[in-house]
Amino acid sequence: MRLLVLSLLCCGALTAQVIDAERSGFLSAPNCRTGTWAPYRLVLREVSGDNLSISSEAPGVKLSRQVAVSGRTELEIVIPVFVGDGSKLVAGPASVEPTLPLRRIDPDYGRPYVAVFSSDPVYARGVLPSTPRGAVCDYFDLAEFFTDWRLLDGYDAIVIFNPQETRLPVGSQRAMAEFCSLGGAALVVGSFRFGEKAVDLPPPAEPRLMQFRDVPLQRMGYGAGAIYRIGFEELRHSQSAPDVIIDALRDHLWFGANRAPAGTPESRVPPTRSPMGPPQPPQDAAPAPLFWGLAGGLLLLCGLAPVVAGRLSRRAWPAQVGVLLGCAAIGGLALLQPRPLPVIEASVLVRGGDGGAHSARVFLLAEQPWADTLVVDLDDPAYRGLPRKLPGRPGWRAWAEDLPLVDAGSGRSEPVLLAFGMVGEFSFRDFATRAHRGETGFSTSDAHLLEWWLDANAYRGRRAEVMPLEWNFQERMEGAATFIPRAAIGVTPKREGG
Amino acid sequence: MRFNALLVAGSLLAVGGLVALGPVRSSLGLALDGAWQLALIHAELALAPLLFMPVAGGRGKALSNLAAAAACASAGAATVLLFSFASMGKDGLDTRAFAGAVWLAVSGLLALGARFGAHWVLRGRILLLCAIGLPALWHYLLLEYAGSSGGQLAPFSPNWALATQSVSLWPLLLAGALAWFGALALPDRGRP
Repeated sequence: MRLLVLSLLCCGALTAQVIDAERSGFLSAPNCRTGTWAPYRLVLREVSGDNLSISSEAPGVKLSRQVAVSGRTELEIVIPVFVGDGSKLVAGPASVEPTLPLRRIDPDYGRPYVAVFSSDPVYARGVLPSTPRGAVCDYFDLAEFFTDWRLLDGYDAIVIFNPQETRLPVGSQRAMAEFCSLGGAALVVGSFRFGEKAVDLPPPAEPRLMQFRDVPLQRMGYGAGAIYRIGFEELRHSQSAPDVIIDALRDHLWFGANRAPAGTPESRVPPTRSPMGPPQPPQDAAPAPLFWGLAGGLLLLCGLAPVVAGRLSRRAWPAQVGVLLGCAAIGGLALLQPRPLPVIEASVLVRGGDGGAHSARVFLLAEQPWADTLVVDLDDPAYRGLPRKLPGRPGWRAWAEDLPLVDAGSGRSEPVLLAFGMVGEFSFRDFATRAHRGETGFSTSDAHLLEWWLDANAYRGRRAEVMPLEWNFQERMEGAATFIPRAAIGVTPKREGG
Repeated sequence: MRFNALLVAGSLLAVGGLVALGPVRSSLGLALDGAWQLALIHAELALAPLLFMPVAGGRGKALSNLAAAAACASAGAATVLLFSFASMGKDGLDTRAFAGAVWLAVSGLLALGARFGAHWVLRGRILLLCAIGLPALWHYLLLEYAGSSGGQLAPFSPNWALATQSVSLWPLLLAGALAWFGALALPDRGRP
């Protein structure tokens, strides 16, 4: 009878939490940006229990979330899912490998990838359509505004149409601030009405009045990103409303210039070339007193046991058995010796801008015995970062971790200005070479990250301030490790041609 | 040999000390980290045919040779594990089954030779060294003169198998078990 009950319970557990594959899918479909996390609607049927743990897995990263079931039999949640090979969603015993959307949207200065939130999607599609020369848009209901910036990871900008002053869900203000601090643009048509008040967030910069195609708007810089606000009536009366919005988005993406910078824009897609220099050579291991004691004991055992056993017995095998047992004991004790910890090297690139908001991209290089997967609790209000795996060198694993709204810390020396491919009086390559030699305010450890950033940005017609920073970032502690901060530089883009 | 385990432990500790010397280490391109222990594991596998000293004689000697082989394998394992302080991985522990199988096969073949006389032990040693070394040489010759690879021979050489992670325990266990069975089951000379 017990066996029957047990097997029924097991069968019950196995049949619970069926993923409705037909109703589940990427909200951004058919668009997506490879290498980023996109919003995915997961529909679960036949749910039981009080809580359900849901995880979104990608190579080297796992995002987990707890969902209260509270008596419901069907559950619908939106969770970030990695757009790339190896992504998987796990809900209790059920799992699914999501089908990736077909249209891959690459970062492009001329065609931003935009999430459009509106209470009237038909109106939004009319005002801001997806066009080959405008923007690629995904449309969402305003009531479903994402309250976690990690769902907006793949987008360059968000546009909110809110003519009826609909109150946004709780958490929207933080999500928008975090998204902007990471370099995104948020354009609000209508009014801000957040679901929360008195959120502890850095304020945006003072509003600046601008005008696009005779439509007035306000721009508030927010770290590397910006918030634009357009009056709904002004836009409605404009003859070219779509162009006004596109112009405003390009104003941010093009750093205020009237021409797109060269190359591809910065995005959260992992870089193909590692910004980290070669890891520092390992420290020589030195034997501890336990090693010398055990080594001496081993030699004594192997030398004395046959002599002693020879006195007690004429047979040879008891001595050998004694040696065997003694060596096994010494081998066991040898495993108790303290061992070197795996090394984690971290470099951080802090992005600033207008106002007091900053964001950081931390590049981690960890020796392989360290955790092979970074686990992120999406419910943790203290950690709002999002890691993604990078190609690593043999024996090492690498991640890039985007952290919104960080404390930038102080500079180690005066900032330098990158303009027209020159840093001061040197070409950016010469400056990087000088940094490698230690002839600048940057340390030789900073030089690899600096060179990588200059290589990726100097050709873009960019003007930016670059500064070495004091290390001011919390270390990840997935397992015991030796943490080595290698480099910290801050970048503040300037809204001027360069 | 009564002090065979001492010979194994002493030799491997000496190899460990030798590898730690600056000039040797730099010529081998090793660092004093996990590579130190790995070098010792390779030394253990390569030196096993030279370090095991079976006593020639009848069935009784074969039994004591079996005990000595177990003591040698245990002393080798203890020495390798002593160097765990340098490694953050588990190479020492993970290779114990493989090293044990190598000790079983090598000691079995030498103990079988010891049943036929001391000179057969020497021949067995040469045969084992050839078996360990020749596949890699053959691979080199194939690469150099025929432009083809002899990589499929890797499992025949313990060091090469370990380096290429193509370890196969069953052939070693089978060879070792058969050799020890032969060494223990063969009738003594002069007896029916």
